[in-house]
Amino acid sequence: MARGGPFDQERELPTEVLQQLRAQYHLDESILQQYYRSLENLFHGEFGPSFAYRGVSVSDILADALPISLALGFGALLLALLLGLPTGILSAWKKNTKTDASLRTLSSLLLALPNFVLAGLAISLFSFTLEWLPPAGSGGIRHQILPTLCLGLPFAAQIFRLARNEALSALQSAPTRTARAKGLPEAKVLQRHVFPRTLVPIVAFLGPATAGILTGSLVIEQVFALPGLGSHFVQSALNRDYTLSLGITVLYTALLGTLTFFADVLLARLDPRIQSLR
Amino acid sequence: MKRADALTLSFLLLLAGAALFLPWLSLPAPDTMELGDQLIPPQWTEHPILGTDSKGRDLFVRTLAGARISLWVGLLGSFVALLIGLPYGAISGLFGGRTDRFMMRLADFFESVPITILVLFLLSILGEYRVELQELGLSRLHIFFFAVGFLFWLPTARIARAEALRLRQALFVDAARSLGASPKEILIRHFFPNLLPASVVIMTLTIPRVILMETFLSFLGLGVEPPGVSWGILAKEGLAAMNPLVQSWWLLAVPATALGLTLICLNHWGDKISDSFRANT
Repeated sequence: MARGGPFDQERELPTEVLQQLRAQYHLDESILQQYYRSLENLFHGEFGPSFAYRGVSVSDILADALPISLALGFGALLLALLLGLPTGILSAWKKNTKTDASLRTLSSLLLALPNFVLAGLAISLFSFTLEWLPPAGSGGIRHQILPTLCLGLPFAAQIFRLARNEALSALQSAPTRTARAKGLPEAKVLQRHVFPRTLVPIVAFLGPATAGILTGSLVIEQVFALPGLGSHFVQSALNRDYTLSLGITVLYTALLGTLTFFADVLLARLDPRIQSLR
Repeated sequence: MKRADALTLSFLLLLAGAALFLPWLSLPAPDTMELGDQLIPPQWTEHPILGTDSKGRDLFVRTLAGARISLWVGLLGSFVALLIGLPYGAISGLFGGRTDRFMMRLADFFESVPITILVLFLLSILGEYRVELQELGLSRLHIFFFAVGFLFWLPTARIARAEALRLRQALFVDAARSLGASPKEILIRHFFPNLLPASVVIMTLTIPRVILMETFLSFLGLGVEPPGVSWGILAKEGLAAMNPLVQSWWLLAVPATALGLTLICLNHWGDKISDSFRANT
């Protein structure tokens, strides 16, 4: 059992007040009763009141924070796909050229830096030196650019590597050779024989990528002072805000589960061999 | 690519050597504050070659001290992951059938939960028990190793299982079995020695990820704690010191460069070793 409670303060509270508080939040019941209560609430889509923010329910906080985090997370995922996939195929197609080498160097650089370091460098460049973009806070679309970039770029690098590997083997495969021998233009070869194959490892990567983006957003939201789920989660773990952290964990797990499920379904459609692997 | 190999390897060896022998080099301690020498930008050729921070501490010394902790965390953290994952995967692969299915579904279950989030929780709860744990001789760093091991044992277990499935059909394992060797004997005498190459591959792939995880957790205040120095702590301090009025870019740029270079070199060798391993099997 975790020591320390949500009502720990510098000054000790009078016993009566503490008892009142504990009764209000049902902390005086047995563990089993509490567990049953929260389970029952969960089925009603309720997470109860927040411990740290008095008078606000967890559902309210989640409703406020979820859109911010969703916009950030999906933005980053989309950016990673749009940047990583085409560059990966390009790099494989131009294997061992300067383009390939510089793209590979860039991707290993992006994979080697934690995203908050990336964020710091981006802020000092784009916000302090060039003064193009705001360094923190939430607001218009301009506030979204830097966080989305910093969260998405490491995943773009990973998708780049996956796409490049798969495209390389697709370019050397028999169907591609036959298509080229028949005189199919290179653009068509890439479109018909290379592009569909690169989708397979990338879709398989979507599940882990979602998990990574969730944890990445914990940090990125802190750096850019975005009031999303990630900031709330870290705060709630430190504040002992049981209901809020439970709510966010449930939401995270549901998000991850749903995305992984859809990724698996999509994967089976893309590659029929996976379906028959039983 | 020969030149890249030599370059990355010599960088890693140099860094590891400097980190290892840091206490014997005649340098000031990483937390020596020189009042009056605050926020000096890098001089490159003379005394504070990489500058000083807002408390007048020499950033060059601090980066080396950070390397000491970060590399150590990477090495030991991956070793813990190996210690959990290798036997798990080997046992699952050796017994096969129902045991295998159960153990792998359990692994799937762990993979479907955002474990990092659970580990964050675990670390913040264990923070409350610091005094008791210290009495048991466990510091925060030890807990951190377990947490990291817990995070990274899954891929290790999968690689180990794939290897074990291959080994299970090897003739010498058949021979041992027909001579009446128990599963325990097969595991110890035949599996673990043969899983050694795979372990090296797993280690080289895991170390950079653990180092990144350390910076992540230190940033959230759940990893290494000041006055301890790691690259995560340095990067965090560099980020915190950033503001548009006072120049202090080197506080972030120096640890970021050290971290980036090290991880690029480690990744390079990780890819190389796993490629040659795959070519051999």
